[in-house]
Amino acid sequence: MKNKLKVLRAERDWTQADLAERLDVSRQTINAIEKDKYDPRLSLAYKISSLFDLKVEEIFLR
Amino acid sequence: MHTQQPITYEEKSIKNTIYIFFWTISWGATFVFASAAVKIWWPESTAVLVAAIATHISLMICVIIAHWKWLKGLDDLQRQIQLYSMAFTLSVTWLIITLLILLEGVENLPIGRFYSEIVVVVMSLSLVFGNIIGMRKAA
Repeated sequence: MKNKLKVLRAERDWTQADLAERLDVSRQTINAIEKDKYDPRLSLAYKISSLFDLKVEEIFLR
Repeated sequence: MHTQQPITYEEKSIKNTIYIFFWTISWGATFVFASAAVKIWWPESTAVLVAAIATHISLMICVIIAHWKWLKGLDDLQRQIQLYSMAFTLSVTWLIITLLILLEGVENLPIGRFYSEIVVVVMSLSLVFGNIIGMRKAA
């Protein structure tokens, strides 16, 4: 599943470590999501959407 | 009033890993004590032996709880990697045990003597291998 996480993170000038800390996950998880190697579970997807104040489907694209 | 800083994911992971290390070392120490109790105090002092084994089992439970907490504290991806590694380890262990049972019947093959050592080594290696594969796939 494609996503806009890298773009959203770059817009805020955050590093992967910054975003990982905000979402309470490991930096490796952020990296894997950005590279489309891992699709987050619904709870994390909602956490991400809440952090960026966007809908889940606006971040994660089919 | 001093307010406590919220604990980060990394800090939580380190803390849980330290707990596992601490309980595993303690469990190892009770294992040595229980082994000594079997050799030295059995059958003269049953009470010491029972106490040693009871302590060993209690510490074993603490190790299991520490591992469970560590797994629960991981994020989704890390937990998935660990669970896949454990599933891989379980499968390999079953295969190795059935293979060892088959080989036990072969004459002049001293496999039975190293049975538990082989299983422990294979389990450790397959867990490490599963972790490496999982980490590489996610990297």
